[in-house]
Amino acid sequence: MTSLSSEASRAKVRVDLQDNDETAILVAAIRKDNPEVVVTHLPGIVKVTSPTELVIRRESVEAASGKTWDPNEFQLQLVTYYGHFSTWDEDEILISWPKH
Amino acid sequence: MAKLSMKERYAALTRDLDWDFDYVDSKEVFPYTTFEGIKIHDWSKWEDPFRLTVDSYFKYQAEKDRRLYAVLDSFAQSQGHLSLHEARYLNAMKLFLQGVTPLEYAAHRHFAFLARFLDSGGPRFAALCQSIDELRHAQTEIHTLSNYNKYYSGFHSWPKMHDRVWYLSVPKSFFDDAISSGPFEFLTAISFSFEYLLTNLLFVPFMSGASFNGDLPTMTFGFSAQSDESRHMTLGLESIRFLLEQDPDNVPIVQGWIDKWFWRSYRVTALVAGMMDYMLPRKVMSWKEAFELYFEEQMMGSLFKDLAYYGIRPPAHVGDAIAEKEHLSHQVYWTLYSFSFAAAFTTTVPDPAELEWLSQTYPESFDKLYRPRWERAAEITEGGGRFFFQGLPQLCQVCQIPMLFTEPGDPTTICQRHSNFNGENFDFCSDGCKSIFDKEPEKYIQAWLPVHQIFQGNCGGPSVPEVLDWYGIQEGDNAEYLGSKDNLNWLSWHDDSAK
Repeated sequence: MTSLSSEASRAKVRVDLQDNDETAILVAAIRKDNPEVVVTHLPGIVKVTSPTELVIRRESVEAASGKTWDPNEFQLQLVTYYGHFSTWDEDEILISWPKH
Repeated sequence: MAKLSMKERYAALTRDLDWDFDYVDSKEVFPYTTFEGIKIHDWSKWEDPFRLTVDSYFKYQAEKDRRLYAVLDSFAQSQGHLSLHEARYLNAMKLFLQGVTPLEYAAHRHFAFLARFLDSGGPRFAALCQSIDELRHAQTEIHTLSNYNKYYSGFHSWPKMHDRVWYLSVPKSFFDDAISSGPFEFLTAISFSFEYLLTNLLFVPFMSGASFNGDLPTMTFGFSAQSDESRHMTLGLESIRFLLEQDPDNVPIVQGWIDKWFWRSYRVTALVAGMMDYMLPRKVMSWKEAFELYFEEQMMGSLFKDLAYYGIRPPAHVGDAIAEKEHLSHQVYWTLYSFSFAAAFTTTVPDPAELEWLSQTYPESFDKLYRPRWERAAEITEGGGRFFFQGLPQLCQVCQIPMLFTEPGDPTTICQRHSNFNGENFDFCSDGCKSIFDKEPEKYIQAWLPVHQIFQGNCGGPSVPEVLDWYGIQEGDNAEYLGSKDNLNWLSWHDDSAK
Protein backbone atom coordinates (compact mmCIF):
# COMPACT_ATOMS: atom_id res chain seq x y z
CA MET A 1 0.00 0.00 0.00
CA THR A 2 2.72 2.42 -0.89
CA SER A 3 0.18 4.52 -2.78
CA LEU A 4 -1.45 5.42 0.56
CA SER A 5 1.31 7.81 1.45
CA SER A 6 1.17 9.98 -1.67
CA GLU A 7 -1.20 12.91 -1.91
CA ALA A 8 -1.73 12.13 -5.59
CA SER A 9 -3.56 8.97 -4.60
CA ARG A 10 -5.75 10.98 -2.23
CA ALA A 11 -7.31 12.91 -5.07
CA LYS A 12 -7.49 10.21 -7.72
CA VAL A 13 -10.92 9.48 -9.25
CA ARG A 14 -12.03 6.83 -11.72
CA VAL A 15 -14.99 5.70 -13.80
CA ASP A 16 -15.40 2.17 -15.20
CA LEU A 17 -17.47 2.19 -18.40
CA GLN A 18 -18.93 -0.54 -20.60
CA ASP A 19 -16.64 -1.18 -23.54
CA ASN A 20 -18.78 -0.16 -26.54
CA ASP A 21 -19.12 2.49 -29.27
CA GLU A 22 -20.90 5.03 -27.08
CA THR A 23 -18.10 4.74 -24.54
CA ALA A 24 -15.54 5.32 -27.27
CA ILE A 25 -17.23 8.68 -27.98
CA LEU A 26 -17.37 9.52 -24.28
CA VAL A 27 -13.71 8.66 -23.84
CA ALA A 28 -12.78 10.95 -26.74
CA ALA A 29 -14.70 13.80 -25.11
CA ILE A 30 -13.23 13.03 -21.68
CA ARG A 31 -9.69 13.02 -23.07
CA LYS A 32 -10.24 16.43 -24.65
CA ASP A 33 -11.38 18.01 -21.37
CA ASN A 34 -9.11 15.99 -19.06
CA PRO A 35 -5.75 15.62 -20.80
CA GLU A 36 -4.21 13.85 -17.80
CA VAL A 37 -6.54 10.81 -17.75
CA VAL A 38 -5.17 7.30 -18.13
CA VAL A 39 -7.34 4.80 -20.01
CA THR A 40 -6.95 1.06 -19.28
CA HIS A 41 -8.98 -2.05 -20.14
CA LEU A 42 -10.44 -5.12 -18.47
CA PRO A 43 -12.62 -7.62 -20.37
CA GLY A 44 -15.78 -5.67 -21.25
CA ILE A 45 -14.69 -2.61 -19.28
CA VAL A 46 -12.84 0.63 -20.01
CA LYS A 47 -11.34 2.26 -16.92
CA VAL A 48 -10.73 6.01 -17.05
CA THR A 49 -8.58 7.29 -14.20
CA SER A 50 -7.78 10.91 -13.45
CA PRO A 51 -5.07 11.99 -11.02
CA THR A 52 -7.21 14.88 -9.82
CA GLU A 53 -10.80 15.23 -10.94
CA LEU A 54 -12.78 14.21 -13.98
CA VAL A 55 -15.26 16.34 -15.91
CA ILE A 56 -17.63 15.18 -18.64
CA ARG A 57 -19.07 18.12 -20.61
CA ARG A 58 -22.24 17.85 -22.64
CA GLU A 59 -20.85 20.18 -25.33
CA SER A 60 -17.76 18.04 -25.80
CA VAL A 61 -19.72 14.79 -25.99
CA GLU A 62 -22.11 16.36 -28.50
CA ALA A 63 -19.18 17.64 -30.57
CA ALA A 64 -17.62 14.17 -30.58
CA SER A 65 -20.83 12.32 -31.48
CA GLY A 66 -22.57 14.91 -33.67
CA LYS A 67 -25.88 14.48 -31.84
CA THR A 68 -27.56 15.77 -28.70
CA TRP A 69 -26.57 14.16 -25.40
CA ASP A 70 -28.32 14.27 -22.04
CA PRO A 71 -25.87 13.73 -19.14
CA ASN A 72 -28.35 11.22 -17.69
CA GLU A 73 -27.36 8.97 -20.59
CA PHE A 74 -24.06 8.56 -18.81
CA GLN A 75 -25.86 6.11 -16.50
CA LEU A 76 -26.21 3.69 -19.40
CA GLN A 77 -22.42 3.37 -19.78
CA LEU A 78 -21.37 3.60 -16.14
CA VAL A 79 -20.35 0.31 -14.51
CA THR A 80 -18.80 1.68 -11.35
CA TYR A 81 -16.87 4.68 -10.12
CA TYR A 82 -14.59 5.85 -7.42
CA GLY A 83 -14.81 9.34 -6.00
CA HIS A 84 -17.82 11.56 -5.52
CA PHE A 85 -20.30 13.13 -7.95
CA SER A 86 -19.78 16.80 -7.07
CA THR A 87 -21.89 18.04 -9.99
CA TRP A 88 -24.46 16.28 -12.17
CA ASP A 89 -26.62 18.72 -14.10
CA GLU A 90 -27.71 19.56 -17.68
CA ASP A 91 -24.25 20.64 -18.77
CA GLU A 92 -21.67 18.58 -16.96
CA ILE A 93 -20.78 15.77 -14.62
CA LEU A 94 -17.89 16.41 -12.24
CA ILE A 95 -16.30 13.64 -10.20
CA SER A 96 -13.95 14.76 -7.44
CA TRP A 97 -13.35 14.23 -3.76
CA PRO A 98 -15.02 16.94 -1.68
CA LYS A 99 -12.83 19.75 -0.44
CA HIS A 100 -13.55 20.20 3.28
CA MET B 1 -43.41 28.86 -18.70
CA ALA B 2 -39.76 27.90 -18.99
CA LYS B 3 -38.81 24.28 -18.55
CA LEU B 4 -37.52 23.50 -15.05
CA SER B 5 -33.84 22.63 -14.67
CA MET B 6 -32.81 19.20 -13.36
CA LYS B 7 -32.15 20.72 -9.96
CA GLU B 8 -35.53 22.45 -9.85
CA ARG B 9 -37.41 19.35 -10.97
CA TYR B 10 -35.69 17.27 -8.31
CA ALA B 11 -36.48 19.86 -5.64
CA ALA B 12 -40.09 19.98 -6.76
CA LEU B 13 -40.39 16.21 -6.49
CA THR B 14 -38.59 15.64 -3.21
CA ARG B 15 -39.44 18.85 -1.34
CA ASP B 16 -42.52 20.53 -2.78
CA LEU B 17 -44.53 17.32 -3.06
CA ASP B 18 -43.71 16.34 0.52
CA TRP B 19 -45.82 17.55 3.44
CA ASP B 20 -45.78 17.79 7.24
CA PHE B 21 -48.40 16.03 9.32
CA ASP B 22 -50.69 18.24 11.38
CA TYR B 23 -53.32 15.69 12.45
CA VAL B 24 -50.96 13.04 13.75
CA ASP B 25 -47.58 13.04 15.50
CA SER B 26 -44.79 12.44 12.97
CA LYS B 27 -43.26 9.90 15.40
CA GLU B 28 -46.29 7.71 14.78
CA VAL B 29 -45.79 7.99 11.03
CA PHE B 30 -42.03 7.34 11.19
CA PRO B 31 -41.58 5.15 14.27
CA TYR B 32 -38.24 3.54 13.40
CA THR B 33 -35.80 6.43 12.97
CA THR B 34 -35.10 7.28 16.63
CA PHE B 35 -34.41 4.05 18.56
CA GLU B 36 -30.91 3.55 17.18
CA GLY B 37 -29.75 6.76 18.87
CA ILE B 38 -29.09 8.59 15.59
CA LYS B 39 -29.91 12.30 15.78
CA ILE B 40 -31.24 14.03 12.64
CA HIS B 41 -31.82 17.78 12.89
CA ASP B 42 -32.46 18.74 9.28
CA TRP B 43 -33.57 16.16 6.73
CA SER B 44 -33.45 18.76 3.96
CA LYS B 45 -29.65 18.55 4.03
CA TRP B 46 -29.90 15.12 2.35
CA GLU B 47 -28.29 15.34 -1.09
CA ASP B 48 -28.77 13.04 -4.07
CA PRO B 49 -26.20 13.97 -6.73
CA PHE B 50 -28.14 12.03 -9.40
CA ARG B 51 -31.23 14.22 -8.84
CA LEU B 52 -33.38 11.57 -10.41
CA THR B 53 -37.02 12.25 -11.11
CA VAL B 54 -39.74 9.76 -12.00
CA ASP B 55 -39.64 10.44 -15.75
CA SER B 56 -35.88 10.15 -16.11
CA TYR B 57 -35.70 7.12 -13.81
CA PHE B 58 -38.15 5.09 -15.88
CA LYS B 59 -36.82 6.35 -19.20
CA TYR B 60 -33.30 5.09 -18.56
CA GLN B 61 -34.33 1.92 -16.75
CA ALA B 62 -36.53 0.96 -19.69
CA GLU B 63 -33.62 1.56 -22.06
CA LYS B 64 -31.36 -0.66 -19.93
CA ASP B 65 -33.95 -3.45 -20.04
CA ARG B 66 -34.42 -3.11 -23.80
CA ARG B 67 -30.70 -3.54 -24.36
CA LEU B 68 -30.57 -6.58 -22.11
CA TYR B 69 -33.53 -8.34 -23.67
CA ALA B 70 -32.13 -7.81 -27.16
CA VAL B 71 -29.03 -9.74 -26.04
CA LEU B 72 -31.09 -12.49 -24.39
CA ASP B 73 -33.07 -13.01 -27.58
CA SER B 74 -30.00 -13.33 -29.72
CA PHE B 75 -28.42 -15.66 -27.16
CA ALA B 76 -31.38 -18.04 -27.31
CA GLN B 77 -31.59 -17.80 -31.10
CA SER B 78 -27.91 -18.50 -31.67
CA GLN B 79 -27.46 -21.58 -29.43
CA GLY B 80 -25.59 -19.38 -26.97
CA HIS B 81 -25.30 -22.15 -24.39
CA LEU B 82 -22.64 -23.74 -26.65
CA SER B 83 -20.45 -20.67 -27.00
CA LEU B 84 -19.03 -20.60 -23.47
CA HIS B 85 -15.30 -21.05 -23.07
CA GLU B 86 -15.97 -24.18 -21.01
CA ALA B 87 -19.00 -25.63 -19.18
CA ARG B 88 -17.08 -25.62 -15.89
CA TYR B 89 -17.29 -21.83 -15.92
CA LEU B 90 -21.00 -22.04 -15.08
CA ASN B 91 -20.20 -23.11 -11.52
CA ALA B 92 -19.51 -19.44 -10.87
CA MET B 93 -22.98 -18.57 -12.18
CA LYS B 94 -24.64 -21.29 -10.11
CA LEU B 95 -23.05 -19.78 -7.02
CA PHE B 96 -24.24 -16.35 -8.16
CA LEU B 97 -27.86 -17.43 -8.76
CA GLN B 98 -28.08 -19.40 -5.52
CA GLY B 99 -26.21 -16.91 -3.36
CA VAL B 100 -26.65 -13.41 -4.76
CA THR B 101 -29.96 -13.24 -6.66
CA PRO B 102 -32.04 -13.92 -3.51
CA LEU B 103 -30.18 -11.05 -1.83
CA GLU B 104 -31.35 -8.74 -4.61
CA TYR B 105 -34.92 -9.71 -3.82
CA ALA B 106 -34.38 -9.23 -0.08
CA ALA B 107 -32.88 -5.81 -0.85
CA HIS B 108 -35.93 -4.95 -2.97
CA ARG B 109 -38.19 -5.69 0.01
CA HIS B 110 -36.15 -3.77 2.54
CA PHE B 111 -35.67 -0.68 0.38
CA ALA B 112 -39.44 -0.66 -0.12
CA PHE B 113 -39.68 -0.53 3.68
CA LEU B 114 -37.25 2.41 3.79
CA ALA B 115 -39.17 4.12 0.98
CA ARG B 116 -42.09 4.20 3.39
CA PHE B 117 -40.40 4.78 6.74
CA LEU B 118 -37.59 7.32 6.23
CA ASP B 119 -38.76 10.77 7.38
CA SER B 120 -38.08 12.80 4.28
CA GLY B 121 -38.95 12.86 0.58
CA GLY B 122 -35.38 12.85 -0.80
CA PRO B 123 -34.17 9.67 0.91
CA ARG B 124 -37.56 8.03 0.46
CA PHE B 125 -37.41 8.55 -3.29
CA ALA B 126 -33.82 7.28 -3.47
CA ALA B 127 -34.92 4.18 -1.51
CA LEU B 128 -37.92 3.71 -3.80
CA CYS B 129 -35.74 3.81 -6.92
CA GLN B 130 -33.34 1.35 -5.34
CA SER B 131 -36.20 -0.96 -4.34
CA ILE B 132 -37.38 -1.07 -7.97
CA ASP B 133 -33.79 -1.52 -9.17
CA GLU B 134 -33.27 -4.51 -6.90
CA LEU B 135 -36.45 -6.16 -8.12
CA ARG B 136 -35.28 -5.59 -11.69
CA HIS B 137 -31.93 -7.16 -10.86
CA ALA B 138 -33.54 -10.24 -9.33
CA GLN B 139 -35.86 -10.64 -12.32
CA THR B 140 -33.24 -10.08 -15.00
CA GLU B 141 -30.75 -12.42 -13.31
CA ILE B 142 -33.37 -15.17 -13.03
CA HIS B 143 -34.50 -14.60 -16.60
CA THR B 144 -30.96 -14.58 -17.99
CA LEU B 145 -29.74 -17.66 -16.16
CA SER B 146 -32.95 -19.59 -16.90
CA ASN B 147 -31.54 -20.00 -20.41
CA TYR B 148 -28.78 -22.18 -18.93
CA ASN B 149 -31.24 -24.13 -16.80
CA LYS B 150 -32.52 -25.74 -19.99
CA TYR B 151 -29.13 -27.35 -20.64
CA TYR B 152 -27.08 -27.46 -17.41
CA SER B 153 -27.36 -28.82 -13.87
CA GLY B 154 -27.53 -26.82 -10.66
CA PHE B 155 -29.77 -23.95 -11.81
CA HIS B 156 -33.16 -25.37 -10.83
CA SER B 157 -33.98 -24.96 -7.11
CA TRP B 158 -32.02 -21.93 -6.01
CA PRO B 159 -34.68 -20.26 -3.78
CA LYS B 160 -35.06 -23.46 -1.75
CA MET B 161 -31.30 -23.95 -1.71
CA HIS B 162 -30.72 -20.38 -0.55
CA ASP B 163 -32.86 -21.09 2.51
CA ARG B 164 -31.32 -24.47 3.31
CA VAL B 165 -27.84 -25.25 1.94
CA TRP B 166 -24.81 -24.78 4.20
CA TYR B 167 -22.63 -22.45 2.08
CA LEU B 168 -25.66 -20.34 1.13
CA SER B 169 -26.44 -19.60 4.76
CA VAL B 170 -23.38 -17.32 4.55
CA PRO B 171 -25.01 -14.70 2.26
CA LYS B 172 -28.51 -15.39 3.61
CA SER B 173 -27.62 -14.85 7.27
CA PHE B 174 -25.60 -11.77 6.34
CA PHE B 175 -28.62 -10.14 4.75
CA ASP B 176 -31.03 -11.33 7.45
CA ASP B 177 -28.70 -9.67 9.95
CA ALA B 178 -28.94 -6.39 8.02
CA ILE B 179 -32.72 -6.32 7.53
CA SER B 180 -33.31 -7.10 11.19
CA SER B 181 -31.33 -3.96 12.12
CA GLY B 182 -32.68 -0.44 12.34
CA PRO B 183 -32.93 1.69 9.18
CA PHE B 184 -29.70 3.63 9.68
CA GLU B 185 -27.72 0.52 10.51
CA PHE B 186 -29.19 -1.11 7.40
CA LEU B 187 -28.03 1.83 5.25
CA THR B 188 -24.55 1.60 6.78
CA ALA B 189 -24.55 -2.18 6.32
CA ILE B 190 -25.90 -2.58 2.82
CA SER B 191 -25.63 0.78 1.08
CA PHE B 192 -22.29 1.81 2.50
CA SER B 193 -20.32 -1.26 3.62
CA PHE B 194 -21.60 -3.80 1.12
CA GLU B 195 -22.38 -1.59 -1.88
CA TYR B 196 -19.83 1.18 -1.58
CA LEU B 197 -16.87 -0.53 0.07
CA LEU B 198 -17.14 -3.97 -1.49
CA THR B 199 -19.58 -4.00 -4.44
CA ASN B 200 -16.73 -3.80 -6.93
CA LEU B 201 -15.20 -6.93 -5.48
CA LEU B 202 -18.51 -8.73 -5.79
CA PHE B 203 -19.83 -7.65 -9.18
CA VAL B 204 -17.01 -6.47 -11.37
CA PRO B 205 -15.07 -9.79 -11.15
CA PHE B 206 -18.24 -11.76 -11.92
CA MET B 207 -19.03 -9.58 -14.92
CA SER B 208 -15.54 -9.34 -16.34
CA GLY B 209 -15.26 -13.08 -15.71
CA ALA B 210 -18.44 -13.61 -17.72
CA SER B 211 -17.09 -11.47 -20.53
CA PHE B 212 -13.79 -13.34 -20.59
CA ASN B 213 -15.42 -16.78 -20.49
CA GLY B 214 -17.87 -16.24 -23.33
CA ASP B 215 -20.99 -15.65 -21.24
CA LEU B 216 -22.53 -12.73 -23.09
CA PRO B 217 -25.95 -12.59 -21.36
CA THR B 218 -24.48 -12.61 -17.85
CA MET B 219 -22.06 -9.89 -18.78
CA THR B 220 -24.98 -7.85 -20.12
CA PHE B 221 -27.24 -8.24 -17.09
CA GLY B 222 -24.24 -7.60 -14.90
CA PHE B 223 -23.42 -4.30 -16.53
CA SER B 224 -27.10 -3.40 -16.65
CA ALA B 225 -27.41 -4.01 -12.91
CA GLN B 226 -24.06 -2.43 -12.19
CA SER B 227 -25.12 0.84 -13.79
CA ASP B 228 -27.80 1.03 -11.05
CA GLU B 229 -25.15 0.04 -8.55
CA SER B 230 -23.39 3.36 -9.10
CA ARG B 231 -26.50 5.08 -7.78
CA HIS B 232 -26.62 2.65 -4.86
CA MET B 233 -23.00 3.36 -4.02
CA THR B 234 -23.83 7.04 -4.05
CA LEU B 235 -26.77 6.46 -1.70
CA GLY B 236 -24.37 4.64 0.64
CA LEU B 237 -21.79 7.40 0.64
CA GLU B 238 -24.38 10.18 0.95
CA SER B 239 -26.10 8.37 3.85
CA ILE B 240 -22.86 8.14 5.78
CA ARG B 241 -21.95 11.78 5.15
CA PHE B 242 -25.44 12.89 6.10
CA LEU B 243 -25.41 10.98 9.40
CA LEU B 244 -21.93 12.24 10.27
CA GLU B 245 -22.78 15.85 9.45
CA GLN B 246 -26.07 15.90 11.35
CA ASP B 247 -24.69 15.43 14.86
CA PRO B 248 -21.31 14.60 16.43
CA ASP B 249 -23.07 12.02 18.64
CA ASN B 250 -23.75 9.99 15.50
CA VAL B 251 -20.03 9.49 14.81
CA PRO B 252 -19.30 6.70 17.36
CA ILE B 253 -22.51 4.88 16.44
CA VAL B 254 -21.66 4.96 12.74
CA GLN B 255 -18.06 3.93 13.47
CA GLY B 256 -19.34 0.86 15.34
CA TRP B 257 -21.52 -0.06 12.38
CA ILE B 258 -18.69 0.43 9.89
CA ASP B 259 -16.45 -1.82 12.01
CA LYS B 260 -19.13 -4.50 12.15
CA TRP B 261 -20.37 -4.33 8.59
CA PHE B 262 -17.00 -4.08 6.91
CA TRP B 263 -16.10 -7.41 8.47
CA ARG B 264 -19.51 -9.00 7.82
CA SER B 265 -19.39 -7.92 4.14
CA TYR B 266 -15.75 -8.88 3.74
CA ARG B 267 -16.44 -12.41 5.01
CA VAL B 268 -19.22 -12.82 2.39
CA THR B 269 -16.75 -11.87 -0.34
CA ALA B 270 -14.60 -14.86 0.72
CA LEU B 271 -16.87 -16.93 -1.55
CA VAL B 272 -16.10 -14.51 -4.41
CA ALA B 273 -12.39 -14.93 -3.76
CA GLY B 274 -12.67 -18.70 -4.24
CA MET B 275 -14.81 -18.19 -7.33
CA MET B 276 -12.39 -15.75 -8.99
CA ASP B 277 -9.21 -17.73 -8.51
CA TYR B 278 -10.59 -21.22 -9.10
CA MET B 279 -14.03 -21.32 -10.77
CA LEU B 280 -13.27 -19.13 -13.78
CA PRO B 281 -11.36 -21.25 -16.33
CA ARG B 282 -10.05 -18.05 -17.91
CA LYS B 283 -8.86 -15.68 -15.18
CA VAL B 284 -9.48 -11.94 -15.38
CA MET B 285 -7.55 -10.85 -12.33
CA SER B 286 -6.74 -12.57 -9.10
CA TRP B 287 -8.58 -11.98 -5.82
CA LYS B 288 -5.42 -10.39 -4.48
CA GLU B 289 -5.16 -7.93 -7.39
CA ALA B 290 -8.86 -7.05 -7.16
CA PHE B 291 -8.59 -6.54 -3.40
CA GLU B 292 -5.56 -4.31 -3.82
CA LEU B 293 -7.19 -2.24 -6.55
CA TYR B 294 -10.77 -1.96 -5.36
CA PHE B 295 -10.25 -2.05 -1.63
CA GLU B 296 -6.75 -1.04 -0.63
CA GLU B 297 -6.19 1.63 -3.26
CA GLN B 298 -9.68 3.05 -3.64
CA MET B 299 -11.17 2.65 -0.18
CA MET B 300 -8.21 2.75 2.16
CA GLY B 301 -6.24 5.11 -0.06
CA SER B 302 -8.93 7.72 -0.61
CA LEU B 303 -12.32 7.14 0.98
CA PHE B 304 -11.11 6.72 4.54
CA LYS B 305 -8.79 9.69 4.20
CA ASP B 306 -11.86 11.70 3.24
CA LEU B 307 -13.97 10.29 6.10
CA ALA B 308 -11.20 11.10 8.61
CA TYR B 309 -12.47 14.67 8.35
CA TYR B 310 -15.57 13.55 10.23
CA GLY B 311 -13.60 11.57 12.83
CA ILE B 312 -14.09 8.18 11.15
CA ARG B 313 -11.13 5.78 11.12
CA PRO B 314 -10.70 2.71 8.89
CA PRO B 315 -12.74 -0.33 9.99
CA ALA B 316 -11.51 -2.50 12.86
CA HIS B 317 -9.75 -5.71 11.74
CA VAL B 318 -9.01 -4.28 8.29
CA GLY B 319 -5.38 -5.29 8.86
CA ASP B 320 -6.43 -8.94 9.21
CA ALA B 321 -8.25 -8.74 5.87
CA ILE B 322 -5.21 -7.25 4.14
CA ALA B 323 -2.90 -9.80 5.74
CA GLU B 324 -4.88 -12.80 4.50
CA LYS B 325 -5.17 -11.77 0.84
CA GLU B 326 -2.42 -14.28 -0.10
CA HIS B 327 -4.41 -17.12 1.50
CA LEU B 328 -8.13 -16.42 1.39
CA SER B 329 -9.13 -17.87 -1.99
CA HIS B 330 -7.01 -21.02 -1.57
CA GLN B 331 -8.43 -21.84 1.84
CA VAL B 332 -12.01 -21.19 0.75
CA TYR B 333 -11.86 -23.13 -2.49
CA TRP B 334 -10.11 -26.09 -0.87
CA THR B 335 -13.07 -26.27 1.53
CA LEU B 336 -15.57 -26.06 -1.34
CA TYR B 337 -13.62 -28.80 -3.15
CA SER B 338 -13.65 -31.00 -0.04
CA PHE B 339 -17.39 -30.59 0.55
CA SER B 340 -18.77 -30.27 -2.97
CA PHE B 341 -20.59 -33.61 -2.66
CA ALA B 342 -23.03 -31.49 -0.64
CA ALA B 343 -23.06 -28.44 -2.95
CA ALA B 344 -25.17 -27.47 -5.95
CA PHE B 345 -22.07 -26.89 -8.05
CA THR B 346 -19.09 -29.03 -9.00
CA THR B 347 -15.39 -28.57 -8.31
CA THR B 348 -12.21 -30.01 -9.74
CA VAL B 349 -8.45 -29.87 -9.32
CA PRO B 350 -7.02 -26.86 -11.19
CA ASP B 351 -5.34 -27.93 -14.44
CA PRO B 352 -1.55 -27.52 -14.87
CA ALA B 353 -1.87 -24.10 -16.54
CA GLU B 354 -4.08 -22.87 -13.71
CA LEU B 355 -1.66 -24.19 -11.08
CA GLU B 356 1.09 -22.26 -12.84
CA TRP B 357 -1.02 -19.08 -12.86
CA LEU B 358 -1.80 -19.48 -9.16
CA SER B 359 1.85 -20.00 -8.42
CA GLN B 360 2.85 -16.84 -10.30
CA THR B 361 0.01 -14.77 -8.88
CA TYR B 362 0.58 -15.88 -5.29
CA PRO B 363 4.36 -16.28 -5.08
CA GLU B 364 4.37 -15.88 -1.28
CA SER B 365 1.97 -18.68 -0.50
CA PHE B 366 0.85 -20.99 -3.28
CA ASP B 367 3.77 -23.31 -3.98
CA LYS B 368 4.65 -23.69 -0.33
CA LEU B 369 1.22 -24.16 1.22
CA TYR B 370 -1.48 -24.90 -1.34
CA ARG B 371 0.04 -26.59 -4.39
CA PRO B 372 0.92 -29.74 -2.38
CA ARG B 373 -2.75 -30.21 -1.47
CA TRP B 374 -3.78 -30.07 -5.13
CA GLU B 375 -1.02 -32.47 -6.12
CA ARG B 376 -2.23 -34.91 -3.49
CA ALA B 377 -5.86 -34.49 -4.61
CA ALA B 378 -4.76 -35.11 -8.22
CA GLU B 379 -2.95 -38.31 -7.18
CA ILE B 380 -6.08 -39.60 -5.48
CA THR B 381 -8.09 -38.82 -8.63
CA GLU B 382 -5.54 -40.56 -10.86
CA GLY B 383 -5.89 -43.63 -8.66
CA GLY B 384 -9.60 -43.67 -9.41
CA GLY B 385 -10.71 -41.98 -6.18
CA ARG B 386 -11.84 -38.49 -5.24
CA PHE B 387 -11.02 -36.73 -2.00
CA PHE B 388 -14.09 -35.57 -0.08
CA PHE B 389 -14.05 -34.60 3.55
CA GLN B 390 -16.08 -37.07 5.59
CA GLY B 391 -17.96 -35.35 8.37
CA LEU B 392 -19.40 -31.93 9.04
CA PRO B 393 -17.36 -28.78 9.68
CA GLN B 394 -17.56 -26.47 12.69
CA LEU B 395 -19.19 -23.22 11.54
CA CYS B 396 -18.46 -19.72 12.75
CA GLN B 397 -21.41 -18.49 14.82
CA VAL B 398 -21.38 -15.08 13.08
CA CYS B 399 -20.37 -15.43 9.40
CA GLN B 400 -21.44 -19.12 9.24
CA ILE B 401 -18.43 -20.03 7.09
CA PRO B 402 -16.75 -23.30 8.13
CA MET B 403 -13.83 -22.50 10.44
CA LEU B 404 -11.26 -22.76 7.68
CA PHE B 405 -9.32 -19.52 8.07
CA THR B 406 -5.84 -19.51 9.60
CA GLU B 407 -4.28 -17.42 12.35
CA PRO B 408 -3.13 -13.95 11.30
CA GLY B 409 0.57 -14.38 10.59
CA ASP B 410 0.50 -18.20 10.83
CA PRO B 411 -1.05 -19.87 7.78
CA THR B 412 -0.51 -23.38 9.19
CA THR B 413 -2.76 -23.01 12.25
CA ILE B 414 -6.55 -22.79 12.05
CA CYS B 415 -7.85 -19.69 13.79
CA GLN B 416 -10.38 -20.49 16.52
CA ARG B 417 -11.96 -17.99 18.90
CA HIS B 418 -14.55 -18.68 21.56
CA SER B 419 -16.98 -16.78 23.79
CA ASN B 420 -19.17 -17.98 26.60
CA PHE B 421 -22.63 -16.51 26.89
CA ASN B 422 -25.17 -17.65 29.50
CA GLY B 423 -23.16 -20.81 30.12
CA GLU B 424 -22.94 -21.84 26.46
CA ASN B 425 -19.83 -21.86 24.28
CA PHE B 426 -19.80 -20.21 20.87
CA ASP B 427 -17.06 -20.51 18.22
CA PHE B 428 -15.73 -17.97 15.73
CA CYS B 429 -13.42 -17.99 12.72
CA SER B 430 -11.68 -14.72 13.54
CA ASP B 431 -11.28 -11.82 15.94
CA GLY B 432 -13.59 -9.84 13.62
CA CYS B 433 -16.48 -12.27 14.00
CA LYS B 434 -15.90 -12.75 17.74
CA SER B 435 -16.02 -9.02 18.43
CA ILE B 436 -19.30 -8.75 16.49
CA PHE B 437 -20.80 -11.53 18.63
CA ASP B 438 -19.53 -10.05 21.89
CA LYS B 439 -21.31 -6.75 21.22
CA GLU B 440 -24.71 -8.35 20.42
CA PRO B 441 -24.71 -11.92 21.73
CA GLU B 442 -28.51 -12.00 22.08
CA LYS B 443 -28.79 -11.59 18.31
CA TYR B 444 -26.21 -14.13 17.19
CA ILE B 445 -27.15 -16.95 19.56
CA GLN B 446 -30.29 -17.20 17.40
CA ALA B 447 -28.28 -18.03 14.26
CA TRP B 448 -29.63 -20.90 12.12
CA LEU B 449 -26.41 -22.84 11.64
CA PRO B 450 -26.78 -25.50 8.93
CA VAL B 451 -24.48 -28.03 10.60
CA HIS B 452 -26.19 -27.72 13.99
CA GLN B 453 -29.54 -28.05 12.25
CA ILE B 454 -28.48 -31.32 10.59
CA PHE B 455 -27.40 -32.70 13.97
CA GLN B 456 -30.67 -31.57 15.51
CA GLY B 457 -32.57 -33.58 12.90
CA ASN B 458 -34.11 -30.59 11.10
CA CYS B 459 -32.69 -31.22 7.61
CA GLY B 460 -34.40 -34.28 6.18
CA GLY B 461 -32.58 -36.96 8.12
CA PRO B 462 -29.21 -38.11 9.44
CA SER B 463 -27.65 -39.42 6.19
CA VAL B 464 -26.01 -37.49 3.36
CA PRO B 465 -28.58 -38.58 0.72
CA GLU B 466 -31.45 -37.49 2.96
CA VAL B 467 -29.88 -34.08 3.58
CA LEU B 468 -29.13 -33.61 -0.15
CA ASP B 469 -32.70 -34.49 -0.98
CA TRP B 470 -33.94 -31.93 1.56
CA TYR B 471 -31.53 -29.36 0.04
CA GLY B 472 -33.07 -29.97 -3.41
CA ILE B 473 -29.74 -31.18 -4.83
CA GLN B 474 -30.15 -33.70 -7.66
CA GLU B 475 -27.78 -36.12 -9.33
CA GLY B 476 -25.43 -34.11 -11.57
CA ASP B 477 -25.63 -30.90 -9.53
CA ASN B 478 -22.86 -31.76 -7.10
CA ALA B 479 -19.44 -33.34 -6.50
CA GLU B 480 -16.64 -33.66 -9.13
CA TYR B 481 -16.81 -31.78 -12.41
CA LEU B 482 -14.83 -34.24 -14.54
CA GLY B 483 -17.24 -36.97 -15.59
CA SER B 484 -20.26 -34.99 -14.36
CA LYS B 485 -23.42 -34.63 -16.42
CA ASP B 486 -22.43 -31.09 -17.50
CA ASN B 487 -18.93 -32.21 -18.46
CA LEU B 488 -20.16 -35.22 -20.50
CA ASN B 489 -22.88 -33.18 -22.23
CA TRP B 490 -20.38 -30.48 -23.09
CA LEU B 491 -17.99 -33.01 -24.62
CA SER B 492 -20.73 -34.62 -26.67
CA TRP B 493 -22.06 -31.25 -27.90
CA HIS B 494 -18.58 -30.33 -29.09
CA ASP B 495 -17.61 -33.74 -30.49
CA ASP B 496 -17.20 -33.02 -34.21
CA SER B 497 -16.52 -36.68 -35.06
CA ALA B 498 -20.06 -37.60 -34.06
CA LYS B 499 -21.63 -35.20 -36.58
